[in-house]
Amino acid sequence: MTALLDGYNFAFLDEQTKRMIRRALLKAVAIPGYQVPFGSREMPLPYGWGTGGIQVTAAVIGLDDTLKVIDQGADDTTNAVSIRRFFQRMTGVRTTVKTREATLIQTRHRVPETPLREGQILIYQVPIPEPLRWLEPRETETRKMHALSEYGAMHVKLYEDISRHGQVSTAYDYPVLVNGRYLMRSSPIPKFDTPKIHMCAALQLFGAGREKRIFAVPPYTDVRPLDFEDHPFSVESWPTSCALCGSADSFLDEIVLDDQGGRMFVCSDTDYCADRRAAGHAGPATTPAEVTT
Amino acid sequence: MASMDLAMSQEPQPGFTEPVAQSQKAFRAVLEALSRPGLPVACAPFAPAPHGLDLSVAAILLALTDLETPIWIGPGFDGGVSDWLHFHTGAPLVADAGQASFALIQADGACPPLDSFALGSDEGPETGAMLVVQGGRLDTQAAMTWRGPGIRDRVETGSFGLAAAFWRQRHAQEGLFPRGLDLVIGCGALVVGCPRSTRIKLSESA
Repeated sequence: MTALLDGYNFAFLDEQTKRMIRRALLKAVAIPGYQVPFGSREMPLPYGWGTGGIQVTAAVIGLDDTLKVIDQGADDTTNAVSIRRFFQRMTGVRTTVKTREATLIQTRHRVPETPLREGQILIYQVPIPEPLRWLEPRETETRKMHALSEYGAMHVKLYEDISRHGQVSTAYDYPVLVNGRYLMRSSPIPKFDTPKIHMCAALQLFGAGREKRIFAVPPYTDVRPLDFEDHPFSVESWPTSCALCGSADSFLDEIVLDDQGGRMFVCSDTDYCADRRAAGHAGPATTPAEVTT
Repeated sequence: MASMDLAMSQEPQPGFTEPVAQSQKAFRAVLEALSRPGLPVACAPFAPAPHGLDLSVAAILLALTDLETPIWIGPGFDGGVSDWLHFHTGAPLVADAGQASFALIQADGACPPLDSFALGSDEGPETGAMLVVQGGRLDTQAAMTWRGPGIRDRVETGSFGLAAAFWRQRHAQEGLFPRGLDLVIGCGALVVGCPRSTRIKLSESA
């Protein structure tokens, strides 16, 4: 257990900053998918390491919360470990790796496989919040496009993908329309996770520290990926199932085993995979003996 | 300015006893309320409530306002409320409702036309005000149906002690979205949220 650090306010940020972020969060919830500007602070780690998500978590977290932090689905990778430790030292709240036990889940680039429930809050770390940024570099113009709900340029981009590659080439960060009004980047989650945002029972908050934007998707909100009638949205699939737990319906990471072309596919969501193995499921790479350990 | 009269008036009553934890609790209640429109959420991180305010309303004002949030206080409030709020939060009081980012009204009192509050702009809708309603009631008689983000299908609600004319104005503002007002209705130790994204249908009888 990491000791609580003296000399800091609860959750690192000062109260004035928390109030400012909290007001931005409330506006974000009231206007689903709209990017609310906020006064992003310097954090004790560089932009690009989840400072937006951390500031949102710091403004939301309380002593009753149980925090889970994931990076690409895993609880034990660098970004997740250091952010979890940061909040242990700054708040003393309980942390967990179990999706079901968490009240707050800060995530980098994945939505957990275990369905979220009412009362949970999923907090995304977002690098570039503006879905139109690579189509229109000027902020003044993109603000106007959002104001007018003028999203033709994105449809053209998807159309050009199809005419050039035969399919939409966006595999992550897939553009979605929130509540039929605002075009939103789905943070860089794989498009496999995009349908999970739609009508999710949990509240979803998005923080972009460098770009100083906060946005939100309330529970039970309509979130549709942009697509065409003759080229409907579809998600990735794999020719195999998870080598460890045998799951055929989770997002799989490819792991290179040697330089002879050996490789295996395993669940990206480590908690989901461990849960399944604990429940007795096994994949082709595990023997029954391994499962029991 | 009202604060100039501070010395003349009675002493402001206490605010939060544990500001960090109690602000967080009050904020989370409002966050939940606006995320789940129509659902009453417990919001009573401190007691007793000062100057005749609902517990939830007092906590919400203390948790969310500060020197960056001009506040407008409607008629029908104890004279001590403005001094109390200014003393604890530093929030500047404004006489023009359109300048306020937070406005405080009585559920059964007079309310200026809703379009006299700040509604934000199409490019910056977040500057629309938050309307905090004091003295709301959780009545059982269904008066409205709400739909929208945060509501799984629809929710039948009462009028929360607000006049039908108020809700008709609120309904008329739906076409302005994303501009609009976000309502938080204090009902004693509970709070109910009605963000601008909620679509309201009044029952025939209302």
